[in-house]
Amino acid sequence: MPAASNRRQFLRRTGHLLTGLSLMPLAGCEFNHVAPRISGLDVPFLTPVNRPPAQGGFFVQHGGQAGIPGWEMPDLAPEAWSLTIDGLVRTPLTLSLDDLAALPARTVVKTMRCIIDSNEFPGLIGTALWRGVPLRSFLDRAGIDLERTRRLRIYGADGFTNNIRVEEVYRAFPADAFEPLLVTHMNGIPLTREHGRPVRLLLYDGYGYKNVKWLERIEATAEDTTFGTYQEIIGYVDDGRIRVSAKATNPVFNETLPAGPTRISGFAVSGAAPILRVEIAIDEGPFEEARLIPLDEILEAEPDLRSAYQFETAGREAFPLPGVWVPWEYRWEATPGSHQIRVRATDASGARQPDEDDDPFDGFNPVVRIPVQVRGA
Amino acid sequence: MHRIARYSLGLLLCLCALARPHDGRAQAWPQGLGHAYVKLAHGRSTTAEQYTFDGRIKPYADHVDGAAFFDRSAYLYMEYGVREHLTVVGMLPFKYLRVLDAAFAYETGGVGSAMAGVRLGLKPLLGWSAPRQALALNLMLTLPTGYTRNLAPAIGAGQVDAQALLAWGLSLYPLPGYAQLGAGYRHRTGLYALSRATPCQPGRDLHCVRDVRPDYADEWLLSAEVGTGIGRWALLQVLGQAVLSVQPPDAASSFSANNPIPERQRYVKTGAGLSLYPIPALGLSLQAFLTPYGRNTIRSVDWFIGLEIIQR
Repeated sequence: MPAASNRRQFLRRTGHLLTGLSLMPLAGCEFNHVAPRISGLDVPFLTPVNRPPAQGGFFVQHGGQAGIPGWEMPDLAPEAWSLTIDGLVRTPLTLSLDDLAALPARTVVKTMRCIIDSNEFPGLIGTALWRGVPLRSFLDRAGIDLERTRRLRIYGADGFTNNIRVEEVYRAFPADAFEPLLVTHMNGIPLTREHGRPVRLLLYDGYGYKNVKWLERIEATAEDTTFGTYQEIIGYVDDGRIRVSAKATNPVFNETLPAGPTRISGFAVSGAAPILRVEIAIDEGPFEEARLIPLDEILEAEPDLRSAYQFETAGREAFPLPGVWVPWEYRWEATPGSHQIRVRATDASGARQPDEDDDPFDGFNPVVRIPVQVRGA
Repeated sequence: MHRIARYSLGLLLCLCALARPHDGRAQAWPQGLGHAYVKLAHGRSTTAEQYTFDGRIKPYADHVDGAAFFDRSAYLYMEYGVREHLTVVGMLPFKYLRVLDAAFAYETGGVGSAMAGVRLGLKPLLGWSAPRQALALNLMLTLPTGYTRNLAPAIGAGQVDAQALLAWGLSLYPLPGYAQLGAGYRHRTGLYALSRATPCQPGRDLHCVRDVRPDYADEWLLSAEVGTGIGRWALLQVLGQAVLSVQPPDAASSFSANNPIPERQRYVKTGAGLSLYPIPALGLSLQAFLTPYGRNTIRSVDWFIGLEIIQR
């Protein structure tokens, strides 16, 4: 066969093949699927420190890992640890663990939530009892210049940084909250290396990145500007206050369920105010209120929770607490077919989870939508 | 800085360093007039690890034991000599990607970004007659085929790229071998018209990520290749290729769950290939690559098995 004929034939065939293949997506060739590798479960109120996240344990996230060149997890010897408080202070301080131990400690309950925790499960969130001493004591001792200081710049030994406004320390705190603490213990044991041994900062209403681990320096500054690794690299909201959100942990996204009575459960949290209500809607049905689990039921499983400082100051009737998750449940008579479960939370300040929010770093999560398949009887 | 889609538990949902077979064979030599080379390849890329923006090695996905990224794709690669020193080149991939995190498995399949271009033999243009050397300019476009660029994982970056690669080859005659070096530049155009996006709410929709249309950095391309014939029936190759973003990878363009499509990445792949030719017009090939160096990319082992058809 002549070369020209060969060429025409080859080009024609190639053209047909390319045209056909290029139209494959339009013909429905493209596919995408998300399949759960675990089943839904109720997470314990107090999150175990040393259990895998898929079994309800803490998911540990290190902010510097993704943002600081050469990042390594600090391994600080408690006996050698020191914290410097400097900047706009009369007398710069260098504190040791003995200085912290000399003050009466308080045990608080707080939910540690990463700002980008989402519909994922098990998620970047957990709750613990934390023990520590007020930061304010040491700022007072250093003679902080409250006239000029606008922010406290916080430095971790791993190079991670953040800031808090000075009024987040020097203000009247509601009885169901607590002032910023320097914490040394978590769920009754000294902080593990992964959780910031020996000392981390703790704010009752702040996302995880506000609670700097491996704390080594606090600088009082007159600069009233954004400061922090995550804010500067990724663009996280600077105030870092936990926005109102609910999350379902049972069932999980795309889970297949049997028909019949089904328990939907999860938790909700807001840093600004206690959770007021959680609402559920099935498919396009109306939202109905879920049952918030009362504290007495939680205490049956978590007796250690009785020691939480917030209950001393505000009483148990104050539960739910700001900055602390509250479990919820909803009973559903599941019918065969595909369904979508929607979940939203409202806090006592009136803030409600937005219907839509496409910025993952602004702190808001849109109304949860969980598709499920229900098998026939 | 780009604010990127949904975060997901250390999961890396998409990547640009999607494995594909070594671009072409002997890119310094255009095909002869009417000659054709067609290769159908199956690629398997697997990893449990990634290179961070600063070169540290960390798990691809936290809390996943073993491999968490799987690329099982097929590629149709073609060369055809339309003129004595002009070869048209094309590649069409069918991508299948599966990634795992602690709780979910995410998979996407579809026709990925096609490549189309030409290889222009430069010796006649330059009046260069060195008989054992070859020089060609390879001009290629990467063209999305209409896939959804913000699925999780995505099967391509979703934008058009244009690249030029100059390849110099040397025949080692009378030894039965050749050597080749290539250097080029890939311009990331920022044109997204050939892909589409699905609406996505980060924090809620697990099947997709926010459509941010990243501003990818241009890349330098380097390649090296040595091949030797074993009789008439086999070809043994040692292969190397590097993709180096012009701008250095940094934390803001980190290959992480925060930024699942790295805007800046660098990697070097080294490997070897063996092709068997039971008859002159038909070959069976096997290539394997390691990733000894990387920034913002997967640390994968890549295998390709191919069927070659050669028309002379």
